[in-house]
Amino acid sequence: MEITVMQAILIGIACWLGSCENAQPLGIGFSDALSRPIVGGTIVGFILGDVATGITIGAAVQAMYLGQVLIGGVATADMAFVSYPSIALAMLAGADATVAVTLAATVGVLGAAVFTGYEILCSVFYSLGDKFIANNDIKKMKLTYMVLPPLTSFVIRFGITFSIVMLGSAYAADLLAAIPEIVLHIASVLGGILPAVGISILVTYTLKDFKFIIYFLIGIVCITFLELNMVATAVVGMCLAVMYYMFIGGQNESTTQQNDDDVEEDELL
Amino acid sequence: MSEKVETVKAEDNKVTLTKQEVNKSWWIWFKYCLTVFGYERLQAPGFTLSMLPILKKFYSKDPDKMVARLKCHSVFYNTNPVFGAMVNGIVASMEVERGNGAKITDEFINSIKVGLMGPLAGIGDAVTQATLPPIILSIAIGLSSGGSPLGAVFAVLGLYLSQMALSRLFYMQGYKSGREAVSKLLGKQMTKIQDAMSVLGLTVVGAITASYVNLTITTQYVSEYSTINFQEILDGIFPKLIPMCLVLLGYYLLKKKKMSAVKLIGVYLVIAIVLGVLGIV
Repeated sequence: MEITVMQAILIGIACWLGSCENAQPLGIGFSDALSRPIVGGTIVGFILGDVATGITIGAAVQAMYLGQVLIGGVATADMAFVSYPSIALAMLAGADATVAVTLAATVGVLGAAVFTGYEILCSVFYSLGDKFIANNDIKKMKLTYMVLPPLTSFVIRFGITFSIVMLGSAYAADLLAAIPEIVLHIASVLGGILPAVGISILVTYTLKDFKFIIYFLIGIVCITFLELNMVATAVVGMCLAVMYYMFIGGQNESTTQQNDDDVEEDELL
Repeated sequence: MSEKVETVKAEDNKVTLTKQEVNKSWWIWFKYCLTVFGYERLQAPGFTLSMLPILKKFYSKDPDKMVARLKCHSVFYNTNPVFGAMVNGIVASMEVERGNGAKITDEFINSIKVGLMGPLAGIGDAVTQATLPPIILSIAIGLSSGGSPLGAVFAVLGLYLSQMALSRLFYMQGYKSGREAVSKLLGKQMTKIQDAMSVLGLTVVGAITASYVNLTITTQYVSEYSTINFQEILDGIFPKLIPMCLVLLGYYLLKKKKMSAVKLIGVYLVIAIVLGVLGIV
């Protein structure tokens, strides 16, 4: 597939708009939505003039990144780089969904490294902001906090995406053909395992007491043995949460602090 | 003339924020909470910016106090952007009290910010990262089968509207209840809610594990009399046993071994290479 300079520019801008560190005119929720591969795939498909392929690839890549989280500024994969340049590259190379997923996994990890660099670079803005606050120069502080970071991010996001996509249109197909079978196989195996990284992080943050692992097991059993879908499982989870709140929560303390517990029960009633 | 009226008002009954000012403070947080996304102080600039409309109202003619207030807010801050809006609401209402002459120290405000950002991040991440997006996106994947753009439209609307509605709700709740909310949020009740949320979060995380982590053993033991398919045997015992073990391994390495997420990716890469080269998967 060929690509024009205009198309590459549009994809570069889309990647910038879909990066979480940018304040969008519509707020954080919007860039969060744009950063998802299923949305990115659709947008890239529109730009490249093949919507159906874009969406198919986007949906496949999305499936891998359903458990993707960004906690405390630590990302295991950069979603904006996954959703725009990697999907565009896969489309340009004429790759099928499986190869696209592998490609996305690779770009995602490399993108996370770039993003970490940006996060370190941001220290400049903090110290600059401090300087203007000390001088009560609110206008310049606003400039430092609101305008300079998106500009910096634009240079990085747009620059990288634009060059990858332009180079990719010339070399991606040949490059993909030159990769040995075993490497592609390993990458696709890795693509299957990688969601476990985001999920492990989530478990680390939500599991305070190891006994709670039973709910993780319930979630697995709902899908495998009971063959429920995601929405039904979430409803089961919600019911369990309410039941926990009503009947179980607070009993841990009841052995040590009987009186407090009684008071709390009264409050509940 | 109007200034005079306002000072008189301040003496008699307290200066309150107009609805627009409250809305503006929330909107700035929703828009700029992740601006200057660096490890050093993460969401501190976003928090400072969202307090600006309130601080300007009280201290626009008092540069010293303005600088002091801005400095107070530009310390490390990091929470869930959506649920954390509640802290902005609470602190905004405290800033109003303070502007009206109530004795609230910087330490008190900061201790509230630090005390609340953790619990709210815990619940918020369980809901806005572990629960809502996987559900919305898995529906979106279903809708987009056959190359329909409906999935993307659904994903954008679902993610955006849910986050905006929750963020606004939490900000306004925090602003309305102010300091009273703090004791509630840090009390026992909150621990229970946190635990209940992690029940929900873990159930969904289990479902994601079973749906989207894949490692299938393809190797078979072939002898003269029979063929043993290892994956079939495993499926007979407990389907998705391997993905579950992979996640538990990840949890063990992250939590107990204090390994970084990047190193964990390396571990999985080694597993994929070893198993792939040996032809087990």
